[in-house]
Amino acid sequence: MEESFRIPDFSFVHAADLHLDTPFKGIGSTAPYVAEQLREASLAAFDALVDLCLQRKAAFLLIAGDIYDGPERGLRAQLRFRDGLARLSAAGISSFVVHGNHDPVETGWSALGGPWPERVTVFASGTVQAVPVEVDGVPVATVQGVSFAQRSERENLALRFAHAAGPGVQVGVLHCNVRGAASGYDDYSPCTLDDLRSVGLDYWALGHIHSRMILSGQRDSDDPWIVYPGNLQARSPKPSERGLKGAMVVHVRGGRIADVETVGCDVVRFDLLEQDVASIADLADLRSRLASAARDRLALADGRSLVLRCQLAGQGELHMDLRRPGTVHDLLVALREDFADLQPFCWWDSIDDRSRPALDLDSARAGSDFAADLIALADELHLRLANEEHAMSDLASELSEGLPGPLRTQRALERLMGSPGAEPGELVDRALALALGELEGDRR
Amino acid sequence: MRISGFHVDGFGGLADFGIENLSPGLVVLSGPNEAGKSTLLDFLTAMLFGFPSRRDHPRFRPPFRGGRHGGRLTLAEGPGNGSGSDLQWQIERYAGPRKELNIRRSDSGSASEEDLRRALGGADEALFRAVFAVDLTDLGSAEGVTRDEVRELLFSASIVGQRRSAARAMDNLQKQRLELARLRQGDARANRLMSELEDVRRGLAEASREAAGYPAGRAELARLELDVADAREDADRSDRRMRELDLLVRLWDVLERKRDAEQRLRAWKEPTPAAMWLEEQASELHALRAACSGHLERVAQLSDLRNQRGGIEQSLRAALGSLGPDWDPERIRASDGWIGLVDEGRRFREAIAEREARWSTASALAEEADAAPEIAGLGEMDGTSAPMSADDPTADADPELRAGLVSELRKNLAEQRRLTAELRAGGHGGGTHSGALERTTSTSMVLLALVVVVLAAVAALAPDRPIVRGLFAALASGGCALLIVALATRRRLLGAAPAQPGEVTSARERVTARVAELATSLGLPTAPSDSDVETAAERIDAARSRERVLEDDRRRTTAALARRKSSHESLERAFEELEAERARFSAWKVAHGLGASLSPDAVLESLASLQAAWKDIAALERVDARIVQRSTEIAGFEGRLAMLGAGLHDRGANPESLEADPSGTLDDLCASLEEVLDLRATRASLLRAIEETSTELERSLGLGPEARRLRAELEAGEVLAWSEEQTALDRARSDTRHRLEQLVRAHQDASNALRDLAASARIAELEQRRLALEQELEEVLRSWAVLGCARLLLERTLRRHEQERQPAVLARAGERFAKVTEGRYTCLLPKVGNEGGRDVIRVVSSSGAEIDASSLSRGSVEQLYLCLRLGLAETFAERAESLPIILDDVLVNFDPGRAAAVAEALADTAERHQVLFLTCHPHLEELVRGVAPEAQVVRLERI
Repeated sequence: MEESFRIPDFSFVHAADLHLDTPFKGIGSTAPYVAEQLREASLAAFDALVDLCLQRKAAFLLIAGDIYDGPERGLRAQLRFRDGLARLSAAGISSFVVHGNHDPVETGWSALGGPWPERVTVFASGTVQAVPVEVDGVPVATVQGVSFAQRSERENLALRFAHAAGPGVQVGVLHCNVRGAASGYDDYSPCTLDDLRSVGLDYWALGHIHSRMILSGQRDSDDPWIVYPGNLQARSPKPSERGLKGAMVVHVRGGRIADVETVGCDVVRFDLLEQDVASIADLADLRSRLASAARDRLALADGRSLVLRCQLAGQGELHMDLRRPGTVHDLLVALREDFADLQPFCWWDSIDDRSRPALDLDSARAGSDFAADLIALADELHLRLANEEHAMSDLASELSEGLPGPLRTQRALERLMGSPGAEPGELVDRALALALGELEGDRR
Repeated sequence: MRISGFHVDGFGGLADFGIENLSPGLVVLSGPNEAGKSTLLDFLTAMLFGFPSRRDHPRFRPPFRGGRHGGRLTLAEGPGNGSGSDLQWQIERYAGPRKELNIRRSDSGSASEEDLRRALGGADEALFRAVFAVDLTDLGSAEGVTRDEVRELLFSASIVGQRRSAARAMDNLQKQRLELARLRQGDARANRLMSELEDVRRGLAEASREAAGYPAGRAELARLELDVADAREDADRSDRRMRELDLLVRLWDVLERKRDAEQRLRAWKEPTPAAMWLEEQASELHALRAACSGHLERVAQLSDLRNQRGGIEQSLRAALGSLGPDWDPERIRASDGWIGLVDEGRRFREAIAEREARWSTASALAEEADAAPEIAGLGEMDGTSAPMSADDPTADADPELRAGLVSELRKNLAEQRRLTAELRAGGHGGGTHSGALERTTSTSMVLLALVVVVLAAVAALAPDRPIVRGLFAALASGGCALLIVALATRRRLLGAAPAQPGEVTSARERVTARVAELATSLGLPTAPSDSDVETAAERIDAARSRERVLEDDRRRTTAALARRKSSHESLERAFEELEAERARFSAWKVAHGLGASLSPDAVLESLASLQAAWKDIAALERVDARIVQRSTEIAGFEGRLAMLGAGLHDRGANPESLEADPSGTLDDLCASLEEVLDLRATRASLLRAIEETSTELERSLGLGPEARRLRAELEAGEVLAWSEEQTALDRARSDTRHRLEQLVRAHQDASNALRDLAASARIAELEQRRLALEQELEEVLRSWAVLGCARLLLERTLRRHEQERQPAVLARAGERFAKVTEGRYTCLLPKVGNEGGRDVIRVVSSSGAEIDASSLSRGSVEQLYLCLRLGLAETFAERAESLPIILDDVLVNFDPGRAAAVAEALADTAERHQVLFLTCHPHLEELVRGVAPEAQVVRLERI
């Protein structure tokens, strides 16, 4: 504690999962002006991160892995990354970088060849390295870190860390999966909160989970801060990618982590609009409501551009209009036209029509007609998909008939069954709604 | 549902034909060929489901026996037991553009076609014709009952009701699927996406390969930089040596010039003293040379002037000779007023000539006046006055006075006669009456004229009638004239107012007395007759003529005398003036020393000689002055020339010819002077060249060891070696430069490529496109899956329906078929449908063998399919509605036993369904009536 009195107040910035110059996933074709901005989004977000460090006069920048999206590491991304760190270095700001599962040390490709700019530390794999940081000649922190050697790093790298003898705030930089923190992520460098707490560091700068999380730490507490900043720029419409994306500005006062501030660095955000069609009279009404909702979302996006995905749900007469071939596409085009030429833009990525006919399924199920048999059959299929091991693949195999050869692969069959994380029976539900709608077709 | 009656308005061969009160059970409609049974079958179908849309359809059957195309059909729902609880449907349908349709229900009035279809259990025409309305042609195959639509309607639609058919829903879903993806190359969305995805992946691989070459590119760039530096150094070295060689070659020339100048300077010699003196006298020499040609001209001019003087002297002498001895040059020089004398002499000559001419003219005029005839005949006229008439007592009286007397006499004679006549007429009063009448008339004329004038004046004031105004103006003028005439007449008449007889007589006497007085004055009788008066008048006129002639003669003579006097006076004045002028001329000549006897012309000649002499003297003076000037100039030039010659002579030169030929000698001396000056210039030039070359060498070579090396190399003068080295170096430099250019270009290209690669967003673009395509493909696949799953659900549901319901149909049909075949075939296998492209139904024989229906005899096949249709009809009735079965001579191919068995089956069916059995065979009618005595029989007549 005596030492802490000599440490000046400062701040540092923590970011992770940059995935520089990688394309957005799960988005269909876009207008050229949108495509261009999406293409530049990850790099622009990194530039914003560098600007943030410069504006806040950060003592150093921590990047906790997955700078690149794959071992091929785009050339443009490498050059932009190096140039950004060089800007920081020129301003006297140190950078500490570890590699994660997307850009492990041994499989990565470097186009740069030359040495890193001054004040840039790229932690190697295998051994945890500790580097002291000084501000105006005064030691303020000691940063430790270790990179992934390979993509599938199964070792608990947190256990390699130890409280270093270095001065100032003790910071660890690690790409890892803290068990129990989030689902849906590969279990690379798995560790627990206790593993991290036991090392005795003041701040764990973690990466890997794309959602922003503060797993541990609060003001005036002796608990170490264990923080996932989330990725710098959202990459897809998945739930974990929605909303603000950016970095953490960590404020150190009196030699202690005083506060952690979230700052958005992203340039494009993803959002999902869910709309129940039950109370909507017609397509014009639907378009108007969607447009209004989108404007609200855009207003809340802090001046960022938006990529919107819409999901229509519920039962209603509108379903019969929506299921008419081309209707949903036309609605999408119309909405895109409504928001054309906006800057920041608002791009309607897709409309997922999950609406159902205004048929009371329970009543229909209780009947004895063809519809009842149809619903019963769908229920049976649900059960089989839920309970029988091969039901899904059997169904996929059956449904893949008629597809061109290259699409009848296992991956394609998996796609057939819906996106990962979706309910297995969702396909059946939509099919049932469609079939019932088709049978209802002659009525209108 | 059953048919209770119908009426054909017009349909094929049927017209205005109907049957009512048909039985709800078995009805035999029997009639000969061409009674219209098949037409009736089509009519009933058309009434239920509508006319074929195409007019050329065989079942359209337009009426050819009259009537409107269509008719009425009555259906009944209910027990049909006559209780009155049946629900009646009346359908009126007519073909034509409007497709007139009128459906009425007995309970609720009008109904729609949808209501009707619902009442028919959802059956459509296809199902009805496949199952319920059968003729022999239909009966021969299972095609009708195995069609999807029929099956689906049979097994599902009746339950689903008015929903879209499952088969159509499946077709629609399949269509949508095919728009998404096709098995082979096609234009479906997935196929297009896959194709594009393949292209993008290829592009991506290529772009990645290019990006992977970045480090190698950088290494190559570094290597190229080194190569460029080496090549540039080589080029610089070559350039330096080439510049040295160029310098040596250039300086060699300078060195050579320096050496040459030095050598020539050493050979230069000083000019002679005379030449150097000439150098000093250069300006004088050039001045003399310049003035030499003028000098020669002046010498020639002096000679000419002297000759000119001699000529003038000779002319002067001649002039003095003509003037006379009194004249010498001095007097002439002093008499400088000769110019005024000449003018005066000329004036005298002209004045005298004028006076002489004037005197001569006056003389001629005087002579002419003297010779005038008036003057010549002056003596004759004096005694020859015109003689007056001797017999005229008044001949000496003034003719004019006498003419006045004659005139007055005439008036008095006329008055006398008038008064005499008046006196004679005074006793009759006629004259008074006549005068009164005339006065009355003249008064009337005055009044009429006044009226006309007034009217014309009033009318003339009429506006805008110029023509009228003109006419009335004329009328007014006429009126005025008339007025004037009338007034004159009146005045005359009033003037001649009638006198009293006494007065007339008195007047006559006075007139007579005056006549006598006048006649007497004229030498006539006192009571002259008119002829007397006329004769006297003639005489008086003749005297007046003679008097006028005499007067003219007197005036002419007086004028001629005046002219003669005047001319003589003029002659005298002219002579006096001439004499006076001559006197003045003589005095002038004397005053100026001119001969008094000289005529004006001679005076003018003497003055001309004086003028010539005066001019010669003046010319002589001018020539003398010029001679003096030229002589002075010539002497001055010759003096300067002599000084030059003396100077040269003193310095050893001998310019003897200077005096004789000054021009040539001066030219020679100038040439010598030029040579000296050239020598001086050459020396200066050489000195300057030496200085300049030395400076150039020092400046070009510089200082220091390198300069010394080059100086030594230059002094060595290996020019040929330098040239050879230059040639070789030039080639080498070209190669080096070419190599350098190539390397620089390669470096630039590599640098650009590397920069482009670093800035390229192509991979990102392609990656984004790849993911977008994959995403779209995924969505397509998901849609494909949903569509497929929906179709699967429908298909399985339909299959399940078939599987669950079809066995009952087959069991019922099999049971009936076993009865009909008397146990030869026991049952039907549940395989109704299409197999290998053909419809398949299998039967099991009594021995247990499965037999394909197509291998059965025709009669057996027809029995099988009839049993199948009866079974389907009953199943449909259970699920939906009992519809009437209409069979058109379906028993004709059956043997009597089986025909009876089938008739029994029909009778059995008719207990639950209405069966209309159409036949043209009386034995079949009998057969049916035999097994079903309660059957209603309706006889049809041949159309």
